[in-house]
Amino acid sequence: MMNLWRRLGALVALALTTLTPLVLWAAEEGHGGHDAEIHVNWWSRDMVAPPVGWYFVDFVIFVFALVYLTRKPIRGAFIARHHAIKRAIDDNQAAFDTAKADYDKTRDKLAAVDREVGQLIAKVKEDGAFERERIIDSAKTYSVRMRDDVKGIIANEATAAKIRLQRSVAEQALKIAEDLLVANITDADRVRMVDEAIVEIEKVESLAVAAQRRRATDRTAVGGEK
Amino acid sequence: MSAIARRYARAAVEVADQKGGIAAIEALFAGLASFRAAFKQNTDLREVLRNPVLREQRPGALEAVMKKLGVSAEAAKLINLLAARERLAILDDVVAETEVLADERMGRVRAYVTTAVPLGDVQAQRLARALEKRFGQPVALSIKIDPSILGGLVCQVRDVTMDSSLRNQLESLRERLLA
Repeated sequence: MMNLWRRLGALVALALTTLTPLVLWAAEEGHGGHDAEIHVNWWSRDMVAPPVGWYFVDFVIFVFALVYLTRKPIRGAFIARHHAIKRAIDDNQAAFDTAKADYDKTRDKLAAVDREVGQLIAKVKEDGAFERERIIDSAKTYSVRMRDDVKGIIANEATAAKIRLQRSVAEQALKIAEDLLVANITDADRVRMVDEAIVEIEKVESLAVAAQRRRATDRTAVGGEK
Repeated sequence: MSAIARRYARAAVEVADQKGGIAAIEALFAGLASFRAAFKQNTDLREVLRNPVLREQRPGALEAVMKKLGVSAEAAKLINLLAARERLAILDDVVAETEVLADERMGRVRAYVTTAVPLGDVQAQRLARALEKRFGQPVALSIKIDPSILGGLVCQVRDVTMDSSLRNQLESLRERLLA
């Protein structure tokens, strides 16, 4: 209530402060300008000069009635509006907080992604370097092995060719020798070779003699060991 | 060598041994060997002995051939028996088994000699004596002429082979060259 009266007083003071100069100015203009005497009708009933005091009173009553009648709805409206704005502010704050949290989360994620990308790039580079080294080493090893294999193949082929050549030369030489023998050998030569073969057989000691000699040798060896 | 050929050969050798001893066995082997040679060389004889259509002419032809070859009675009986039973396909085995059995009965070993030229009598006797000295028992020579050995001789007795042929020397030379 005190608050209301204080507000009402302030309103009246405002009205007086605003309207008084206007009333004085209007009265002055109505009486012929600056040179005329200023006369303000405050309370009298005059058809020429309206009573300004009563107007003030009417105005104050009007204002009071206006305030009295519209105070609750306006207040309720302002309170509702206040709550709506507050809710809106709260909602916006919550949305802001959520957005900020999302923003922070997203920023963290982006930072993590950046870090991960960086790590990935570093890992890829490292793996690439390792793989490059491995491929180079493997290629070197493979080339060395291939070179050794080729050397072995060349050596084997050379050996095989040498053997084939020797074999071919030997076969050709034997073929020539056989052809020469067939062409030049006579029956007399063949008979002589048979005689020589018989002589060789005659030179071979008999199996019985050989067995006796072997037994004698064995006995000597055994006796010597004793 | 088939078991059938072995049975025929053993039976024939035993019969010959009972009737004439070693000489009959020798005659049996000689007769079989000569008939085998004629059988291999004479196409008409093979035709007569193998063609069933000519079965009627078979005894007469056989008798004529064996009379001409002078085979012994035991050999003739064995050949007739083989022909009658259509067993002439095993004649080679029968002759080989008869040869083995004859050698066993006579206590000798068989030397299979291959030469490029025919051996003279003196050479054959020298070779037989040398082999008898080597193996300590009588040796019978089976000589085959094979010009492909070029010269020298190849002599196989039991599981011993003495090869002094020119072909063998060439082969030895080839082995040394290729080694």
